Amino acid sequence: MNQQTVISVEHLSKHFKEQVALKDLSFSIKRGEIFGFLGPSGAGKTTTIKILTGQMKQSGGNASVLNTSVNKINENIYEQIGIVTHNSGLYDKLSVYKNLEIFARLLNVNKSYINEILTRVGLFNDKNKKAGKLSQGMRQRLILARAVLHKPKVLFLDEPTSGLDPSTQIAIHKLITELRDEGTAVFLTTHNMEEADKLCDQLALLNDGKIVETGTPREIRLNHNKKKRYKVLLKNNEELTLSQSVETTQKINWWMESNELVTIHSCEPTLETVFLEVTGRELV
Amino acid sequence: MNLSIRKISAIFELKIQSMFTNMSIMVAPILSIGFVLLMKIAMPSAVATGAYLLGMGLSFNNIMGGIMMGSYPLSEEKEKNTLRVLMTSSVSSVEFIIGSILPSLLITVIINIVLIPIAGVPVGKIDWPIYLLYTTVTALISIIIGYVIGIYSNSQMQAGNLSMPIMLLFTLTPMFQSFNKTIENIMSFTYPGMLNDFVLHSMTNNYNINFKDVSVLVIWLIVCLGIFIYAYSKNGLDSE
Repeated sequence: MNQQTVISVEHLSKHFKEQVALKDLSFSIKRGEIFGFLGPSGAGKTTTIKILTGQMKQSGGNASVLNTSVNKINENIYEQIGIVTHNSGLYDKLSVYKNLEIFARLLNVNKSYINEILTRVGLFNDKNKKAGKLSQGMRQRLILARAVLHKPKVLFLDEPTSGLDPSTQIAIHKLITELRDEGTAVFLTTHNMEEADKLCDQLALLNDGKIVETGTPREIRLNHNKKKRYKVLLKNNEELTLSQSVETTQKINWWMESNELVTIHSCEPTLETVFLEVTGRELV
Repeated sequence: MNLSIRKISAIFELKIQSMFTNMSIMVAPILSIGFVLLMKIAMPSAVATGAYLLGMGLSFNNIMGGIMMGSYPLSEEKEKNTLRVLMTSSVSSVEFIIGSILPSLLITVIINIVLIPIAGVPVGKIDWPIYLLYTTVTALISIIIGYVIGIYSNSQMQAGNLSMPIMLLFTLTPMFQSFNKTIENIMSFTYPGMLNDFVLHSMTNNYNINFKDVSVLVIWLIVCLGIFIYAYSKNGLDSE
């Protein structure tokens, strides 16, 4: 395993009785990288996280996290990894601060860092509020704060912004990128292609338990940009979509010279379009 | 196996706070004191003797309370999706179980002591080492039974439904055992019946620690621990 590689997965598979959940997954994640697992509900994203965090046994293949085989994971590894799942709970009757204080003690984190992390997720002014009184967005920020309290080397995020308002999504995205910049490897599952496009350094598109495409978001989009087209808006409010050709080049040149061109955009496919093209199904 | 005192004490503190903010867990200890006080006031002293009242209070607190304090907190953790969070925060199952059992046991033992003056039993009449030993071991057995129920419950309501028949059987039957010889014989082989016998006899100063009572306690403790270990090994604490 490369020194920088923190998660390594080779030919991983999982089946529940007759149902195949994961088929021959292989990928690796480096330090300071956001790796996105993009796929619709039921594609196997959560199952992958459960296997990588030692909460579920795989049926075949190998995987290791921080040089520890997932088959040998014990509670000690959780001092180096953070996990946010879509159903991570909070102690509703305890205050925001107390919720973090318990985990600070469990994870041997200096209490002075609690206020720092609360400030970072924008909950410092609510630290004495009962967790049960928080809005959905605030709860999710608290859950994220708890997951990164011990500055984990690897952070698993299972649909961390699902169902949240745009401003909370932006706040969470900011924190995730900051953590990435500090060297944390982030394993992010999502079915939100905009989120994947914006955040991820590497992506794997997952469908029916199988990786159907990998690469950076840009690589994936450009690899599938087979029919190059451009969308233009002219001064007379005419909107045109033009295919790549010598004629199109001449037209665009002419409009630019005559100052007729208002906007021009390339029409490479979105990740959602790529997913649809590769799998024949939408990212729902 | 390395156990961390820091982690156990963090779980202990968490559980103490959770218990005092969850009335459904504290209802049995509060009820045991309330019922003893009520019966003392409402019933003639010839019937509601100190031994009778203490036996009833212990039944509520040690048996019903113990089972509830084992099953409810565990099922609450599952219901609120916090158990999985704890178990993926570097806490081992053994640390979690020790840190969770200790507060339940501590509260039960304190109430068992408080019940003595409330029931009107002279403190000098109590053979303290035996009283503390018997009440603590019976409380521990109840808590372990509660944990087994907690393992098979995903919500407090489910834990309540599963606990109710066992709690009623173990809490109420000892109160009626003096009216029926067969019930008395059967109950003497159960830990609630043995506890009730001990209280009644120790108040009349004719109780001596004996092989049968100790055996009943030890066998119940071993069997309940065995069932707990089996249930845990099959399902874990938070199996899906």
